[in-house]
Amino acid sequence: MGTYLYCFTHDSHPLPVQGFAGVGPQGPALRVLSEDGLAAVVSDASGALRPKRRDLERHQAILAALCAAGPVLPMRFGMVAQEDDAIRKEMRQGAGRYRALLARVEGHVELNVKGLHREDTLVADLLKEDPALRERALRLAGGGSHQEKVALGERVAAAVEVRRARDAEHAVARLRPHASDVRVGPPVDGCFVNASFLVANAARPGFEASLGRLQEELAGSAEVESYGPLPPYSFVSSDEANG
Amino acid sequence: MTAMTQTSVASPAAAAGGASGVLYNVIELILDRGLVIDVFVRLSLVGIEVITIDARVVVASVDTYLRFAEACNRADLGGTPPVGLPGLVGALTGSSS
Repeated sequence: MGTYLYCFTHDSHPLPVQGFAGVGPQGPALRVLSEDGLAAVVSDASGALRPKRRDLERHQAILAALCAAGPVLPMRFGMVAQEDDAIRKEMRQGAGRYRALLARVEGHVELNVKGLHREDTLVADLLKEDPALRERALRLAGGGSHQEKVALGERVAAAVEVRRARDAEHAVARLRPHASDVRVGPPVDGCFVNASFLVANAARPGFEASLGRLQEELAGSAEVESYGPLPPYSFVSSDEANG
Repeated sequence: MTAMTQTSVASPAAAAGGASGVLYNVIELILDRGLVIDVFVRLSLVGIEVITIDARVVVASVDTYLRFAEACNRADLGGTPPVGLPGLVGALTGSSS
């Protein structure tokens, strides 16, 4: 038996933990451990527990509900301590660091933005913009040897990379002014931009407005969507790189 | 626009929409980010029923290049053919398959 850990917060947080089923087949009740002015939201777990998709959903749902009521430091999915005391010890030892992190995320949400090009529209745009590329495409005009097709495709791929980088930089530049912090992520599922923004509540309307303008600018060639508000997963790890 | 129920257009798995759709689109944050406490155990995710996130850059390959060449095919190249129209038309006729 171990203790599954969802987050740290202040012990003054409203902590609306009633009625949630926690991670694991039993759907255990949530408990609160208080230590040194901090609180940990936990549930009983086994280290041998084989998590399912449902458990990911529960982890996220619990954190989302807690975040709506006050600042929270979300754990990565799957943290299990040997027992409650190990968590208490960690809270005592890390109290200063955790309080600083809570101060940083207080009054903020995470908004994650991903953008994906529509490939056919993107290629058509690139051909319109680049006469040399268009010339080569015209020369083949549906025919051409395997070699020639590969050569053309390679040139298009290079142009695609340039466009991906340019659109990503543009997207981040548009949204960054509304954020206290940004963290850029890997190209999940081929997206050209994957960036998380730490946005103060007061700045959210401005962020939304800029996102709307960005979506209009890229309309047709790319879909840009934002996900959230999310618990600040991207802004709590000690090893994070900014931007 | 920001909404909890937004889904990503190009991901068939996310087309399921709703809470699952949102989870799919932010799953890499829940699995790869957040606070980590080294002394604690991390639950093994082997066998988890989660769609694998492909975080690799699109691999440059012959298949990719051919796909782009086909996309050029489908694009409306429009415009005026270059000088030397008869030669170009001849080449087009000759190479069409």
